[in-house]
Order: sequence, then C-alpha cells, then structure tokens
Amino acid sequence: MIGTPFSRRTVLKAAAGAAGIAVLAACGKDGGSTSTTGGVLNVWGGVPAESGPNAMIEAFQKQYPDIKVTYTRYVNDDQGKLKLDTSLQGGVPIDVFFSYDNPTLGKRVQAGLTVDLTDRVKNDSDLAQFGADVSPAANLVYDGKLYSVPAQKAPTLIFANDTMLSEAGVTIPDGWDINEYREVAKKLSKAGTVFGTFSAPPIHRYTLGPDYYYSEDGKSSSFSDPVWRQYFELALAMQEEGSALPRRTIISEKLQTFSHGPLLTGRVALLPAQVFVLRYISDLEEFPHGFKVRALPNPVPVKGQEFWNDGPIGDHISISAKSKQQDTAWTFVKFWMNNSNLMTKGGRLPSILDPSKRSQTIADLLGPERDKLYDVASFEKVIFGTEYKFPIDTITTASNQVDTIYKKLYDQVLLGQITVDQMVTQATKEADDAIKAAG
Amino acid sequence: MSAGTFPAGADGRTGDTRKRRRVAGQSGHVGWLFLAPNLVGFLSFTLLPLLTAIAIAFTSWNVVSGYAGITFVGLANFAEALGDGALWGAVGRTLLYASIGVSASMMGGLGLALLLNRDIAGRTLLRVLFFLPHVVTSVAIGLVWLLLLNPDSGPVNAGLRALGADTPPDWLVSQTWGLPSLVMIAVWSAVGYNAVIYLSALQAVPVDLYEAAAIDGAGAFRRFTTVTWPALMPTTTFLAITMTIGQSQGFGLIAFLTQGGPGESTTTLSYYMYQQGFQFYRFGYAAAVGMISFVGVLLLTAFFWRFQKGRGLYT
Repeated sequence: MIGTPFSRRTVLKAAAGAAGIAVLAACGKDGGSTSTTGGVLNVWGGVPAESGPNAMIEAFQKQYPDIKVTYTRYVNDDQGKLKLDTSLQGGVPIDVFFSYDNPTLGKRVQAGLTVDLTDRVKNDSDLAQFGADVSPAANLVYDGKLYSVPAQKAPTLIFANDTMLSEAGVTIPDGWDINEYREVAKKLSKAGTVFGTFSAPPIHRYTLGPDYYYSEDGKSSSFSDPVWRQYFELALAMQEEGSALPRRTIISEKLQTFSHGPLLTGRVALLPAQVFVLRYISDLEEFPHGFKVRALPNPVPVKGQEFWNDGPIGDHISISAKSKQQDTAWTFVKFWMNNSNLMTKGGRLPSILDPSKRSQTIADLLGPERDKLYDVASFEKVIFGTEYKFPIDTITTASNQVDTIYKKLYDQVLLGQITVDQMVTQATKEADDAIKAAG
Repeated sequence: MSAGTFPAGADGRTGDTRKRRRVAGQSGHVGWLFLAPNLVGFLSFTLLPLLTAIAIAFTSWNVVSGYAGITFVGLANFAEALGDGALWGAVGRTLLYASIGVSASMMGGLGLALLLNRDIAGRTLLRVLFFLPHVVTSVAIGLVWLLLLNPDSGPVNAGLRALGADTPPDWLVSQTWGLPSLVMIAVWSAVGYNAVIYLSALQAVPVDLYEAAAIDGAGAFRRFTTVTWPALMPTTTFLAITMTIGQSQGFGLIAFLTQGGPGESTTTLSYYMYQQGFQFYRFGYAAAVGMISFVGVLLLTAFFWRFQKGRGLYT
C-alpha cells in the first residue's frame, strides 16, 4: 500500500466524508434523537435553577418519583432564544420550555414547535381561567388556539425610597395622577445628586393597553396617537427639570437593564418597575443599603378613569411538538402552574394564587429580612389591593422591527438629537413601512 | 548504448527512479495526513458555512421554521438590500470606521515602532505594554472605555473640564461622537499590534543601507523616505489588507458599547447584519447583506493586492 500517493480527488472525497462524519457527530452530540425515554423530562427555561426551578423540580419529583426532570437554563437574549429555537427544531430532547414574550412564542407557534393545548386547558378546572375564549383575554391566543399557559402574572408598581419620602414630608395621595407624580418627583430631587424618579412612568402603555404599538386593525402603527407625544413631552420635561434621571446617564452607565442600581444607591427616589426588582433589593451583599423600600401604585394618566397596568402575564410554558411524552409533560406543566408559589422567592408572582395565601406570598416575595428592608403592608396593598387589567398583546406583525425602531427613536428624542415632532413622524413612517413589508 | 546496459525493469525505468517515486509517494501521503486536520476544519467550518450562507442569501428563512420553512426568493434579498437606504448608511459608516481606523492605527503603529526601534530605556516593557490591548478581549476593553468616556463622571471629560471645556462631548451616547469614539477605541487596541509587526520589519532593514545613505548626505527624513519606507512596503501592504478585513468586520466593541446607537449612528454593516439575522430573524436577508459585504471586502483586498503587485513587493 505504501507508495500509492493520494490523488487530489481522493483527498477531497476523504475530506468530504470526514466533514460529513463531523456534521453527523455534531448532530449526535446535540441529541439528534427526538425520543425522551426512561421517564426523563427535559425542561428549558430562562430563570436560573437556584431561583426557583430547583425547588419546583424537587417538589415535583417528590410527588412523582418515577419521573426524573432535567432543567436546562438558557439566557433569554437574542442568542439564547435562537439556541432554544434551533434545539427545538434540530431534535434536542426538550419536552417543556418557557417563552417570555409574545413575538418569540408566536414564531415558535407558527413554526409548529409547540403542542396545541386548547382542549387540555379548557378541560382542566384549575387552568380553564386561561382558556382561549375567556374574556377579557387571560392568555396568548393564536387563531383561536392556545399553545402555552402563563405561570406569572405580575403588575408593575412604583418602588420608593421610604426614607427619602419621609425626609421630604411627602404624602402620596390615593389614586394619584401623573401630574402629582411629577410634583412628588420634583420635591424628592436634589440638584444633580438625587433624581426624583428613574424615568417618567409609561403613560402611553397605561392608556393604549394591549398592542400599544399598533392601530386598532393592526395594519399600521399607533405613533400618531396624541398619547405618544404627551408621554415624550412629559419625559423630556422631567429630564430637563432634573426630576428624572437623564437618558444620557442611563445609556452611558448601561442602566436600561439594571434600573435597580440608582434606587439602591440613593440616586433616585422612585422606580417604576416589575416585581423581579425585589430580588436585588433583598440582596444586601451585592446592593447594601440602609433604607426601607415602599410600594406605591402606578399613577394614572387622568384621575378617575380606569387604565391598564403595564405588567406582563409571562413565563409562558409550552410543550414541544417533538416531545414523545406529552402527557407526562402536561402533568409537569399543571404541577408548575398549581405550585408557582415556589417561584416567588425568585421575584415571580404566580398567576394562580389562593387568596388565603396572599400574606404568605408577600412574605416569600420579600424574603426573610422583609421587616428590615420593606414596608411590607404597602406591598400587600399595592400588589393585591387592586384588580389590575393586564395588557395581552396579540399582534406580532414585524413586532421586533417596530420595537427596535421605537427604542432607537426613544433614545434619540431623550438625548435631544431629534424633536418630538420628528420622532412621531419618523416612528410612524418607519413602523408603518415595517408592518406593511411584513404583511 | 546497448540494450544490455539497461537495468532490469519492464518499463525501462531504473530502480532509483522507482525508489524516488515511492519516496515521493510516501511523502505526499504523509503530507496530506498533516494537512488533513486543517483541511477538514477548513471544509467544515469555513467553506461549508460560506457555501451555506451563499445558498441562504437566495431564500427567505427565519430558522425557527426549520428547513421546511425555507422559501427560494431568487435575487429578492439582494434587490431589497441594494435599494435599502439603511444598508447604504451602514456601508458609509463601515467605510468611515474602517478607513480611519486602519490608517490611524497603521500610522500610530509605525510611529511607535520607530520609537521602540531606538535604544531607549525600558524598551522591552514598553513593547509589552503597547501590545497588551491586542490580547485583551473586546468586552474588557469596552468596559474600561465605558468608564473612561462616561460623559458625567468619566476621567476623560473631567480632564477636559479641568482644561476649560464647558461642554465636553458625550462620546458614546452622542450621535456625533459615537462613531469617532469607537474608531478611537479600535485604533487604541490595534496600534500595539501594528507596532510589533512594523518593529520586526524595521529590524530586518540592512544597516549598511542607512550608512550608505548617510554617506551620501541624506538626512533623517530623507533616510526614512528612501530607505525605511520602501523597505516597509510589504509589511504595510500586509497590514493594510488584514486590518481592512478585520476592521470592516468589527462587531464586538459596537455590540457591547453602543448596539448601533444612538439612532443608527454606529450601525455598521456587521451590526446591521446581526440585527437583521438575530433580532429580526431574517436570515436570508442577513446572508444577502453578508454576501454584499464579502464582495466589498474582496474588492478592497484586490485593490491592495493590485497596488502592491506593480511595485514587486510580493511575488
């Protein structure tokens, strides 16, 4: 054999073969098989295992000892979402997975990656409240069908530095409106060192509710609605008078996703946010602070009228269409939904909650040092004292593009690079074009 | 010469020739084996993805829908891209980013190399220090510059205020200064690498050329233009090509520091492509933009190659 040189063709064939083997091996490594045999249930979610999922799985396995659950955490950013999508598509054994927003779930539904849960939800006494025909909508519905159930239903609220409120002698009126909010923010501000609020509350979302980027028929954008102009004028005015943290600072310090930072370092007194912020407030090691945090309701755009809360229904649980054990997966989904209180320690409010367990839920949510860190009663009052209307978006046409257009122009207008008029004109044109192009 | 003088061998070839061919065959065999890991890697991770990207560019595909969701759209993605103002804006910013970044980092690198080529104290330490940014990840570099360029509390603006500037730039959060800031950071991180490459080239220039030039009465500037610069031409061409390719694909710093903003002021071609693919799930369109970018970089590389070829720098 020695002495027979390889021809180029032979080498190329060998290389192509090797590449083929490598590709197949790579598929095998990712679990090319779609079967999930042996009573192992594979669950993919975005919440760190230690922030609730481990406790949930432990409780599940205690009740169902013959089912083993493996939890894989994916990071819910662009790359992480794509990783889950390709894994679902490529046959990685996944039985149950979580989606955290409507457009992402919508794509998965459209691609046939999720099991139709409509009948299962309808026939389950605990979950029927999330049915496809429930009014007002309590779940994401696609062409009259359901492909997920929401494990979380959390209102947004205003987190306030209690010491600053007391020192400024501020009393928050019941049912306060946006003008009163602005006045309080002004009183709490100290030139250049303390800003009354992190940002102006999103009155456009409070007013427009679901699908707030879109017109009624979903065929164009809503940026020409006067409430957008009103919101931007308010945000600019508050920034200029020093009662709201400048957008420039938020961008340069990358505070968009770490809005709790300025509250816990005493740079802002009021923070409009979702309840997940509680996990940072309770973390004295990472965010040491010596004041209590009080919960305040969102201000209303106009007194006496009913508005939307901008909090989400979230943590949408779905079953993979490729799962070979869909009944077992459904057992797990139901268990998770009925025991979502196990996730409260991670700052997530369960969507199914026994009213008698509200105090316990608040205690779990605020953690063992709640009396030191929080005005506990205010949280119970704000979170459970009102029946909130949660906006459930149903339109997904070019939603990522429209969201990107909005965020780009939002920054530009608050950085003073374009006027509100320009923002409204440009947002309308660009978003309408994107919606039209996406059909 | 009689037939009897031929050694045994039906084909009339000598035993030595066969041996040589056998040895050559063996070494060819071994050579291919040595090449195989790289070849397989190239085929699997470069050529195959490249061909796949070319194929995807002619489709509409959102990945989530799997292979079944691939729709052939012909040249529609290219037509859309070439008629899209956003793409041309990104092309313009990429050209600006790459051209200033490449030329400034090369000039800076050359200046540093000339300095470090002298017999100065702490030369080795300085070489290491200047090369350091090249081996640091772009996230770490970005983090440091984010703090330095903070418009309110950053030391750069504190310094400018101390010097009397009332309204120093907002740097990365400014539509005007965003791209120049990124160019500045890119130059800072590349200049050390260029300096090291230039330095090695400088040390290869024969000393007697300088001596001869000096004897002919050439001053320092004349010696640079007639001896140093021509000798550095191959290195300059090499750096121009590799830096242009690298800078025009620059992504890490932009993704970490500005995400293409404020507005679209720092959206380069690479970031635009990422946005279309990974945020909007328009992989067919993103692949088409990638192909356009590929052709652009190829043309630039060909230009540099042609430029040096006439001067006989590489053969």
